[in-house]
Amino acid sequence: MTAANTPRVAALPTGLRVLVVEDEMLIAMLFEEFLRRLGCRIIGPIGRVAKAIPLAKLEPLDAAILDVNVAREEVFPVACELARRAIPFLFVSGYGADRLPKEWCKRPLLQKPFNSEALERSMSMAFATARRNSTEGPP
Amino acid sequence: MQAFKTFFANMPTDSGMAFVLVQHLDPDHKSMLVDLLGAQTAMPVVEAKNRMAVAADRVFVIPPNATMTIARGVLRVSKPAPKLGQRWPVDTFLSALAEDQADNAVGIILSGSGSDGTEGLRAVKEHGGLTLAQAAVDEHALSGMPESATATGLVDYLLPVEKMPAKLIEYWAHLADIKTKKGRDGVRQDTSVYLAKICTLLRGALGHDFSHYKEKTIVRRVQRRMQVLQIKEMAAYVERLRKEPRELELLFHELLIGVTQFFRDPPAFDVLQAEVVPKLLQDKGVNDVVRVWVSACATGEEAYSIAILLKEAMGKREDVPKVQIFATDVDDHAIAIARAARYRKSLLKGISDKRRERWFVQDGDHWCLVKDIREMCIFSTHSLVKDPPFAKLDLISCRNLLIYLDSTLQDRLIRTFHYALRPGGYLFLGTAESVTRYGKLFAAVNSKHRIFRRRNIATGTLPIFPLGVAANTATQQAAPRAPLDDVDKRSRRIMEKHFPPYIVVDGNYEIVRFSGQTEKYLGPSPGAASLNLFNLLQEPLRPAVRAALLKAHCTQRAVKHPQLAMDASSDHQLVDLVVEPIPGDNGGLYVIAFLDRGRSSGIAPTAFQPPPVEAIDKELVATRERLQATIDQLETANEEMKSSNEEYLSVNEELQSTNEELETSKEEMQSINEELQTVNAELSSKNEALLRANSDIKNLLDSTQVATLFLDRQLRINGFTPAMTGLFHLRDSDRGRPVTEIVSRVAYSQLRHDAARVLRDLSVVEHEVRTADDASTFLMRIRPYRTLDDVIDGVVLTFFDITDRKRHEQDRAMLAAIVDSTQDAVIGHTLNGTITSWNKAAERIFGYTAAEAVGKPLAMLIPPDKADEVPKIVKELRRGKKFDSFDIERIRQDRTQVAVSLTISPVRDNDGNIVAASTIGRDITEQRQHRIAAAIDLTPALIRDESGRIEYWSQGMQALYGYSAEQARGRVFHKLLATVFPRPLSEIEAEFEHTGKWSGKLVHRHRDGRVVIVASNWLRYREPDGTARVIHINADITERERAEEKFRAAVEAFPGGMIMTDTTGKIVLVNAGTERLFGYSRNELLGHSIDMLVPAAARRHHEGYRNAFIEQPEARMMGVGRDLRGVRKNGTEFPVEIGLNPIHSDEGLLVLSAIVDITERKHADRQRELLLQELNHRVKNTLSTVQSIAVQTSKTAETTEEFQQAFGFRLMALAETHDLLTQSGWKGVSLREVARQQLRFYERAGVDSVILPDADVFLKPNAALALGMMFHELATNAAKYGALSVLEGQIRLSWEVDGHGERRRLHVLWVESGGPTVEKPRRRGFGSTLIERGLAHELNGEARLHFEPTGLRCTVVTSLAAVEGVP
Repeated sequence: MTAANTPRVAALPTGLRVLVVEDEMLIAMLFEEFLRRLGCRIIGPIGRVAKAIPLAKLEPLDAAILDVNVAREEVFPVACELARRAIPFLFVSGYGADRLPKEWCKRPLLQKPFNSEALERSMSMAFATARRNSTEGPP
Repeated sequence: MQAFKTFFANMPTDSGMAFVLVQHLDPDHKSMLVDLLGAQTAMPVVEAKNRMAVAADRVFVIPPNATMTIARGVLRVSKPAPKLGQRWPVDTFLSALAEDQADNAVGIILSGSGSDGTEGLRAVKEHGGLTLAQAAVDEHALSGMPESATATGLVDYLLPVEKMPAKLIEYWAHLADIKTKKGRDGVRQDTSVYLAKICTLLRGALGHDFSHYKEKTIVRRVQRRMQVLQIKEMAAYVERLRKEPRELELLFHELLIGVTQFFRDPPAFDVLQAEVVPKLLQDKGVNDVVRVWVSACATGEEAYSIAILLKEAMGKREDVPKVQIFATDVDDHAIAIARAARYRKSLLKGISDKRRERWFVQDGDHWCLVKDIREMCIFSTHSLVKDPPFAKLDLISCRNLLIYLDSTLQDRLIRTFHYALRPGGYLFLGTAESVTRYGKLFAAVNSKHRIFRRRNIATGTLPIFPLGVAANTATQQAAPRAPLDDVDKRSRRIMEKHFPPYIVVDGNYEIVRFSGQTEKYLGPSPGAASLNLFNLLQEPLRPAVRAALLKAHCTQRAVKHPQLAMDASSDHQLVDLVVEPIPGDNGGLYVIAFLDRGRSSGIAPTAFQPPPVEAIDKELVATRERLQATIDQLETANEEMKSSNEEYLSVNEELQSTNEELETSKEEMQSINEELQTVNAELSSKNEALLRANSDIKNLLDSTQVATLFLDRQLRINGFTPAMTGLFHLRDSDRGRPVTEIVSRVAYSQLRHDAARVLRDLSVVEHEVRTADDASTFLMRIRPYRTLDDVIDGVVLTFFDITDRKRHEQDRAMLAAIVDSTQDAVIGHTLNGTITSWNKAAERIFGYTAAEAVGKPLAMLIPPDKADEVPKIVKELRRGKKFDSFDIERIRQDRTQVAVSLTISPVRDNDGNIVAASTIGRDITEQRQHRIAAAIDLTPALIRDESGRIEYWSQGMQALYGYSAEQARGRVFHKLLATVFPRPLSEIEAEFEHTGKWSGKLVHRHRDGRVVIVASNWLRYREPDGTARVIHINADITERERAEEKFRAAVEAFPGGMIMTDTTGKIVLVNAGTERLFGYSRNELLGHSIDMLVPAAARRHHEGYRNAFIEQPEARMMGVGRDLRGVRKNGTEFPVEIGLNPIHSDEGLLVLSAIVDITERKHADRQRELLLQELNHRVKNTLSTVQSIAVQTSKTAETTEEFQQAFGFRLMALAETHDLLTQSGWKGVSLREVARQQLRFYERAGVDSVILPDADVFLKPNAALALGMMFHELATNAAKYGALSVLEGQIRLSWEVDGHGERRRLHVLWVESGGPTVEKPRRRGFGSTLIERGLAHELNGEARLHFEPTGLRCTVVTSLAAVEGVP
């Protein structure tokens, strides 16, 4: 990717409350580390879909990072809740983008493995997507 | 055709004109003209049909075999056309067109042969239309029709075709232009004022005065000329006439267009024939002459009509008078035509067939009048107006001329006719004309048909010619006769007493007026009554009056002659004479007035002074006497002159007729001369031909090797050919000698006798004669010699040298004998297969005699089922191929077959061309029978009787079953061979009884006990004696049966499905695998279509695929790239893989399909794919994990070395657990193994540094990985700071499961002891974070680190269900 093609990343505001849904211990820790560096506050990480749904419904959140496959469950119910609340979120997966269901394929997907720049870029895109969706109505 | 094309190529399509094309068409052929012209012009071109209305900007073409006319703008087409010779389509149409369209009609004569069109143009022109004819490049008329038309002077413009359209358009525009100037009758209203000028011009230039022609007639003709010239204004035309004498001439011709035909108005002629002609001939003897004058005869038809009538009338009498018919016209061209006496068929309309046959002779297109009629008529150019008339005529025919003339001219002409006719002569006028006004002159004979008779009483005076010049007087004089009113009349009567008497005379001294009391001066003189002044005037006054009139005429003044004495007596009456021309009159009228002076009473007349009166008196008396004598003499002379003049007129007319005859003679001479020249030319060419024929004959005789001898009736030699000298010792000088005197080389003594016979019988005698030395043979033929006029004038001897022929005949006879003597049929035939020769052997072999066979097709010998071989053989023969000894069946005459060996060879002529063929056939029936017997003997065959007893046993049988013929003969066949039948024998025998044949598979025993399987064919036949026999022919199929069995076994053994189908897809074989695969039993499948095993969705394509395979049968996989599926009996489908193998068997192509269920394989494939995806996922997850480890490690590491070491160990720990997972297939891994793996580096020999429980739990991969990491971190920590950092330290690891069901929990306990005293660390490292947060997170349970002083303790509690894997 050349610099020209790299989407312009708006600097994220600090103190964002970010929900992390990731079952793998070490990867969850990596998110914590990177998000901390970005000045975010981490909600979670949550390793079970069932536990994440109430948070997605009720917790004051600015953003969310969702591992697609959480303890052999798909994370999409959580995504539904977030979308309903127009909270920006991004998916994380070791699979390719083609494994995302059609209704979610427009959402940013962070490919494992990733570094903090990739995470930040995906976050920004998540914000952009959420803005667009909120002006255009729910997906 | 080309003319049409050119015409339309130059003709705009919107000219507003309609075009009708009339062509001479072959009545039997469809005309292409419509199509051809259609391509040439944008105007519609149509074939004319009856009642088709003519429309502008269209082209109508006459259809073939039709006559076309036009009436009221509608075409009339009548079919068929008249027969050839009466067909004048162009004339017919143009004539109709002219009548219908008048000056709108334009006749154009384009190329064409003959004279058709000429009369049509005449009609067009007569009705005021325009006439054009095609000019050749040199601007002369094109030969043929245009030339014929132009020759008559009828054509207005002679133009090349390409210029015609332009002219037409101009003409059309002009017509439209002047339309406004025409009155209702189509005559221009503005022309009359110019007519006088035109007439003057004409009279001046040509001497003809048309001023008395009817005005309309002249206007019409002038108008036509103007249209032709496209002159709009009369003034301009007059100007043109003035400048161009040629135009005057054309106008003159135009004015003279005559219409005439034979017997025009037939009723009139009938009357003429019935009432006038007999009277004309009445009282006329041989020496008398009947004189007829046909004035204005035009082209002579009328003259000839009258001639015919006269001739017919005279034909009934013997003492026929001479008839002279003077036929005259001003138009010398017309006269020339009349003289020729040749008329086209179409002009003979009025003539009955009978008259035509009698009086005409056909000459090509034309009919000529017979000589008798022609000679009765004398033609000359003559103007009725200008020239003096003929005289003493019996009949004048002047029809349809008077109508063109005005009344003055009519009047004059009628007087002329009156003069010209002898008393009682007849005048024959046209239907529109009459002389009833002249009742004094003519009496009507038949007023309806205008036949009049001259009255004898009135005097015939000859008017002065030319008539026109002084003819005005009568009318102008008549004009003042206005009625006088009563007062005038009475006063005039009174006044007349006081006036002097006077008379008025004209220039001819005819008295035209008398006043009262002239009796004193005038008195009738003896003789014929006359108004002539000098006949009436008192004699004494005559000289003075004459002198005065002369003087008055010369001076045109009044002349006075005073005191004229009336007579010579003493008391002479004196008168004053006044002669004065009547002024304003150019006709020369004079008033003569007599003023009475009373008696002289001795007084001398004033004019004369009488000095010596007596002398003068004497002299006067003498003078008077002399004068009187002179006057008498003069009057006598005058009378004589008159009669001389009449005689001269007659002589002149005689001379004219003589001249006419001379002209005719001259013409005849000329034509005779021409005929003679023609005859001469013909003779010359005949002569040449004769010479040519002579030399041809000479060459023929010289070149033929045939010896020929010509003898006369006395056998004297007339001639001979050179070849003859070889046979007779002949020389040229021998001509004329009797042939018997000549020495001959041939031995022939009967010549005289044979020649006599030929002459007598007029037959032909033939002999073969030999030369004396016998070397040559001749065929001698004696024929009568016939001259061309069929007179026998001797004999002709011909000698053909037939020596070679004789020799050939002998050779041929020999060859024929050879051919006939051979045992083989020798047949000659043409390449088409027609038999040309047939020898004896052929008769024997095929049964046909030579007579029956020759000329028949060779095909009759060929069995019908092999008929198609003939064309093949013929084709090969033509190429020169020879067929050597091939055996074949042929048919004999009795329809039986015969086996022959044929050799067919082409026969070539001398040039090597294949012209025929020969067939040599040998009967090989017997030979073949031997061969068959031998062949049968080699096959396994037996013959048995109906009871089954073997009578014949072939060697083949012996070889097959091991029994010899001796052993077999007499045994029952199925007993001998222990036959196993496929069905009960009784059934088979019943069928055989019925059909006479049977075939089937039989199992036999060889003599040595082996099984022999055969395909057996049985056939019943009857011996000639009627007994039935049965032949068995067996074929050993043992090996084949065995092979088939093996094949079946192999198929059966195949684990998958094997199905054999035929080409229609019918199942013929299945194996057990198939039954298993599809759930059908064998019987449910056999005989059914393979389609039952194909899913419904694929069935419709299946046949196509099957046919494709049959097209190209090779072993291959079915449907590569497609998902093939089979359907079981229960309806379920499953994926299959099918191999196809073609099997070429006796029953045709079979397809063997090997079917394998690939459900398992498909499943495995899908698994593998999922696995790969999972692997990818896992690798990426793992990499993320590694990254996380790196990040976490880097946070706590102080140095790079430290980082590397810690990172390396952690990765290794991770990898080790991975190893375990992989070993277990990522299903479940032993907790004990995981722990042992991580702690194995810390186990020391002899020391229980690490204690593991015996119990075990199987963990899920993630749990294993998490716990693995935990153990690693704890161990590392222990090694650094805890129990393992000292020798005495110990780690005790334990785990247990409590609770029940879903609530079972796993407790893992890590307890260190014996190590240094433990302090709680100041900050959390990677390990503690991992354990307390990560592990809890990962396992969804709790993990606690307890930093107790005795040693670190770690407890993990989690739901067993969340971590437990499969062992």
